Amino acid sequence: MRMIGVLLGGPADFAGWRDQARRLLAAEVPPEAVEWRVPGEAPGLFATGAVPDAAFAPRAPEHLSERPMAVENPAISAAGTAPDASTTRAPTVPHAAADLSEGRMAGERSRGFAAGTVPNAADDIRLAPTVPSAAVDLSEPREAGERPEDFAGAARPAPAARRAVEDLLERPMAGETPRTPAANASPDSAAVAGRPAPTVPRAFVDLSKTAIRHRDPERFALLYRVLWRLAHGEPALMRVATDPDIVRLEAMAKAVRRDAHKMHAFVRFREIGTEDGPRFVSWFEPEHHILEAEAGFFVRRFAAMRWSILTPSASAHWDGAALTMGPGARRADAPKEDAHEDLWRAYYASIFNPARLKPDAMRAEMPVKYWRNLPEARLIPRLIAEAPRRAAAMVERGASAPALRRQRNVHWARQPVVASDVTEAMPADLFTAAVDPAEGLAALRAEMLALNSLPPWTANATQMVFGEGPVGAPLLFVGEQPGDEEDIAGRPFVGPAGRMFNKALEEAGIGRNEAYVTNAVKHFKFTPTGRRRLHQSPDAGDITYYRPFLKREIDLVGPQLVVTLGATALRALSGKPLAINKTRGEVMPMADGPPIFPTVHPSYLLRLPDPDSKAREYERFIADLKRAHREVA
Amino acid sequence: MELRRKLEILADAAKYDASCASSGTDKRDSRAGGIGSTEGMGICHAYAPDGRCISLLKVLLTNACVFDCAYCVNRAQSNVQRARFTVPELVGLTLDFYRRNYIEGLFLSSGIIRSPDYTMEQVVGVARELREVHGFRGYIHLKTIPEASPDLLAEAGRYADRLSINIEMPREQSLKELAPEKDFAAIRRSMARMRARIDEAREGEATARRPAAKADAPRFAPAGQSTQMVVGADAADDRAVLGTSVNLYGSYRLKRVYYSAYSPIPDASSLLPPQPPPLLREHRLYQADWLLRFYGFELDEIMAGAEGGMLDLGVDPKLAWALRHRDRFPVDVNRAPRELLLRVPGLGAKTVEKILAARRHRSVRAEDLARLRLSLPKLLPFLVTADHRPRGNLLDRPDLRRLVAPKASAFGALARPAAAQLALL
Repeated sequence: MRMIGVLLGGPADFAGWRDQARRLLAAEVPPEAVEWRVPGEAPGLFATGAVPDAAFAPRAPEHLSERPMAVENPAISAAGTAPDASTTRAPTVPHAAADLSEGRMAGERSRGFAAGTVPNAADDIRLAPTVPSAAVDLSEPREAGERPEDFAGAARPAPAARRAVEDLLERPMAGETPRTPAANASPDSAAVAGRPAPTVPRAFVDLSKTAIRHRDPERFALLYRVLWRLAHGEPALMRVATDPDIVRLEAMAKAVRRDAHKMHAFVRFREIGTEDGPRFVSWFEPEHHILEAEAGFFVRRFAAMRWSILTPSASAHWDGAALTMGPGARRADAPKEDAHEDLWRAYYASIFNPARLKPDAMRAEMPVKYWRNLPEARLIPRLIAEAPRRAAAMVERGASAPALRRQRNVHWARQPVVASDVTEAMPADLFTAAVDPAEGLAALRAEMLALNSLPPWTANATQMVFGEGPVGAPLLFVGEQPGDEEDIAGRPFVGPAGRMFNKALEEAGIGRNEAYVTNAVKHFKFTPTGRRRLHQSPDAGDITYYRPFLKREIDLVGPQLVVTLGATALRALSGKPLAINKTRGEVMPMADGPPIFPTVHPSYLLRLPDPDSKAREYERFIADLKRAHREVA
Repeated sequence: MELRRKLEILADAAKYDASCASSGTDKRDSRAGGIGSTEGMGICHAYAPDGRCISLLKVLLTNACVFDCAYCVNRAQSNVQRARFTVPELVGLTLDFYRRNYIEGLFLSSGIIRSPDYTMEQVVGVARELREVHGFRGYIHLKTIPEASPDLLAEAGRYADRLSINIEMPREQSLKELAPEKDFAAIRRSMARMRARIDEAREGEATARRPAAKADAPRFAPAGQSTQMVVGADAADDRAVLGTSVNLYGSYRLKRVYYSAYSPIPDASSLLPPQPPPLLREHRLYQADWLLRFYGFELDEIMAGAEGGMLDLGVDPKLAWALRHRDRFPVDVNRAPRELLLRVPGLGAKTVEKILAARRHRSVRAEDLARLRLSLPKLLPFLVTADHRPRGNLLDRPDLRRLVAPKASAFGALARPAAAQLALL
């Protein structure tokens, strides 16, 4: 088999890889016939040790290595460590003296981004031109939710595709000297024209953009192999999280994301003075090729600052308007210290709780390899060593005597204590007789707030919800109990049922301000389930408990007619479990108070599933309200 | 007093607040001015040797306090040294730390001085200056005070990403005994007010059709509210602790309830138990909290069979449930619905989603699970895969617990009270 060598422009050159991959794919060049190279990186071939699992490979390449498949490539272990650094490290770039006051490094090629088009992890890649959907042949149905991504550049008569494939494959990227290995072969360009355009799931493109930054020299080959399989009868491959290739790709992307996240966390800037003012410089050692992709994060965060991040293989410089990528640097190029590091260490030492020593948990999230670039890390050995003694001393010392001079309570007024026990036993009419009704209502409310005989479930509610409306309102409406929103707001009829009630009142010609609204039960009774509170109907005991308070509330308001909404209110007022459909719409005289007028509760209307009966019942409800209104007119 | 000394005192005073979250707020950055960014994901800039994340500059404005809460190192009768930041000091410190990429932002709390409104005004003042004067776009978490005025609360919500108020104790009675000035019901009403405002802000944002109208919605703590409970300072059992959590989550849509195992403090009050609870208790509570919120467990299921209302310290609550309900297993990894897979000990929510997607295309085998880095010895007794079925009596064996429970490890040391743990070192 003829091998084709591909030289990419840089270690994380997704656009270059994509251009080449689509051409290789169009020319039907199988993965095992491609050797991917980046200047300065050892070649990555499947034949070098990571042959895909034959069991999952639909068309096992003929020249498969005899070596057994390792389930997990040792090259990407849990920590994401890449193979031996000596083989993968970029060659030593001749060190260029950093002229930081200039805001850029003297040296190799540098690229600039305008301030408005700062790269971030998602959009720093030059995207290929989009293809009209007509050119896309979906030989397999797409999966829902996956937007196909075009990989068919070579198959349409775009200028780029007209160039001969072999020419493109051998042409070096980005002006590098041609060094393509094994470039003696080229696929038949006739195959390009005949091949239908494949599409790949969006998930592949997203994952590839991240995974390509991994230090593993086999990343390009793995990506092409997955692309090949996607285009050759396995369109759903991205969803098979258990497939060895996908497992490996995911692991690479995960390692890159973790590296990026740790970079956001552990970069430490040191301030230096320059002719143009302060500049913040950091020395950081990322594990993968992430600097360019992650520079955008620091631009977005520190747009008004001037800063540089130096790493062994590249550097990024921001001058407040443009980002410049430069060559690698040395640790010694970064400033040695910063005046604020002492304060930061003081904070670090003080926020640590010596009574909860868990150094393993710390190391899991802040691996030791980062410590040498973290100013606070030098305290760790001492903090760990001293912790047991400090914690033991606290336990031994035990309780201490109160301070002689207690912190002064100068302007703090204590809440008045309400003696609820006294009022409970007193006859109800003591409060309602010969009292101004508004004051009486306030007193009743205060009395209820201080009750300590409430049913135990009321402890789960936020607050008591008392009635509201004008004293002397001709119509007084009694609902069942507050719901979720009433419990939060502390006011009756403000939830979904309340909103429907307000709308119905308006249509019936009754202003909500003219009516007094309250509930038979004054606390929200519910079952807590996960994220929601499920309404629970009050039982006979609850209704009986609140009944005397409701009666007193009605007496104080003094309405001409009490409209009961739903069964609970009807039961609270009548003292009997009556059926609403037999009593609704009729005025019922009461022996010990104003007459009542039963109708349904607005939440009943909300619960009706079918729109026809909902509309019918709503009309009936409004008719009831109008009737009640006429009774008091 | 020197700034460094103030920082030491006021950070030391703040460390008993477990929360250091900096995630889940709206996205913003400094390209249009100001300094700072939030991109949704929280960032832990360092970890202390107690294993806790350091994401925010977590300090008190002052540790002077007129409240006398027994569990608190800053209580009125404590002998600790007192200090107070000025607003410019704290604003400067936050910005200096932020520019050097030490922190995501500020978590500011305070002892109560003079009056609730005065204290709240001071706390809000720091946030106001950071946002309005310096264009700070980083994360701000403010502790609110239940009795403070609604206007100050509204302003706090405008500047802060997250607001919190600590419920402190799992039971009202404990709070009465240990924190006589605090009012359980008032704390809950305060949470209700915050939920109402957060809901209102969300709704405003959702209903604003035009992007321009979005800015008109009243901003209020886009990262929501959270709370904290001290565990082990009173006699409440795990059922009571989790029961309170369930109620708080359901009632006030809290983002998180933090559990803080009571740990010895310098200058402790005599009202507190002499020995702290094992740190593992706190860990088990977090695990149970996760099961309640993300795995479809009900509190009664988790606590059924729990001795003395306490979670099993030996095994995690999901494994404990599985061991008590062996008749529900084995579960077929290729057929079982999501709810059942979520109940398998060792299968996390993300793994379950991966399995559900993968099994539509291929049948899942034991080696596939190994490739997902799952622990087969722990999983396989409960699972049927395409090539595996647990041996006949495995699920009935009395020593199954021993077979699947984690071996005594470094983590096992957490099961012992801190004092015993320290003696071993």
